[in-house]
Amino acid sequence: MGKTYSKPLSLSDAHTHYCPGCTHGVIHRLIAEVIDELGIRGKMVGIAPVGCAVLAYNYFNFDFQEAAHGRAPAMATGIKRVRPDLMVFTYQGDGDLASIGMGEIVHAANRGEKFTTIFVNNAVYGMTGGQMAPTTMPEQRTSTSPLGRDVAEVGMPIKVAELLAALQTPAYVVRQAVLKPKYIVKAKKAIKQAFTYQQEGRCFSLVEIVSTCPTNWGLTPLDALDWAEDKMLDYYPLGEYKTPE
Amino acid sequence: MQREVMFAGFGGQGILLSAKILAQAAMNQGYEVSWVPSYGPEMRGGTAYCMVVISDRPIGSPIIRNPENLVAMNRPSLEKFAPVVQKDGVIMINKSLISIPSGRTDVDEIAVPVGEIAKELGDMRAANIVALGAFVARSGIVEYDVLVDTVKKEFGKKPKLIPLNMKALDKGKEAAAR
Repeated sequence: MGKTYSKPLSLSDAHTHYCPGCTHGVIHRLIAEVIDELGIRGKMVGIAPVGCAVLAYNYFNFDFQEAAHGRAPAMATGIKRVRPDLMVFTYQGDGDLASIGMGEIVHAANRGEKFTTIFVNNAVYGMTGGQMAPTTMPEQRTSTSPLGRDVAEVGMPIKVAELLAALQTPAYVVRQAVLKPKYIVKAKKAIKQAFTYQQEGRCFSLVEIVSTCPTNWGLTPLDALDWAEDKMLDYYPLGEYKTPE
Repeated sequence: MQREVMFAGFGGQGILLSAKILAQAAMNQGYEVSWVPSYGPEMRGGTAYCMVVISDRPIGSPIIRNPENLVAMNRPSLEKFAPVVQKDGVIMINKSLISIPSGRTDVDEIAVPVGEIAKELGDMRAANIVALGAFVARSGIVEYDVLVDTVKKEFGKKPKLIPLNMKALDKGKEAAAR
């Protein structure tokens, strides 16, 4: 009987520190599989955020760079411009990308820097204890919105894919999810498309991935997947928002 | 007079809580105290340690390079901190998870199976309180009765947990008897 599946070469043997039910594990695997399939492991550079994925460099078998909070797109700009032959991606969460790093990502996307950003949207700040993020849903209770996000006070959640798609510079902007197998399949395709555009030297790409944070949402891993599917997908519709064509 | 203890283990063992209870007890006894936690970025697991300083004068520094005592709840913590504990200090070793000795010959070392004791009492999560009881009984760093009262108050909002924690302290004290 032949081998049906093996762990991607791009994924290290380290045991991740992520919580049970965290979707970082799934996303890491998808990225690793795509890198293996495209055969680009040897020239891959990932840039880790400040957040739960800060230790991502332990989990992949290729070069990684650690960035200051929110500055991954700035580092990616530097690395990609100096070494355009390398495949560069940032891996960022809500706080890193949509809060402190909002300036960096908007301008990197607008300049059309030719790297890929994987944006993990789980509607909270994970590592720091589940505080309200720009992506927190209306009425959602978090550690800093214990009575629920009051949009009259703090505004509506930010739709990052739509925001970046509104820029005029060509780019590939897509939102998928990893909440059920049918979504995971599409998420992998999106990641592969993004890296393919980068291989072609085409454009900036952003793959926003609707994810869960069971620990900070106070839900079991399975309930968290359901909650995200019920409560997040209407506001954050999945699909391609912009292609460079 | 100044006494210090480092509580160390992994995230989830209740390191910060047990250290806080000790600091609170010392404060209730009229001492100056400091409580400084240190923990990694992980939401679950990772390292957790906490330095408690108890003094009869204002405390100069809450961070002590060579603490008088150590409560080590997991092996990496023991390996990391045992070498810096002061001579004649108490090193309390969580025997349920640590099978090695401290490697020191000049300290008062006690190994207590706090995990098993807590499990026997009905809840593994009380292991930190067992360790606290053992350490305080052995070191005399605060009066044991003050500690008991402080634990009662700490669980004031969850009174159902008080009996378990009282037993945990007692078992710890028993295990630490010379």
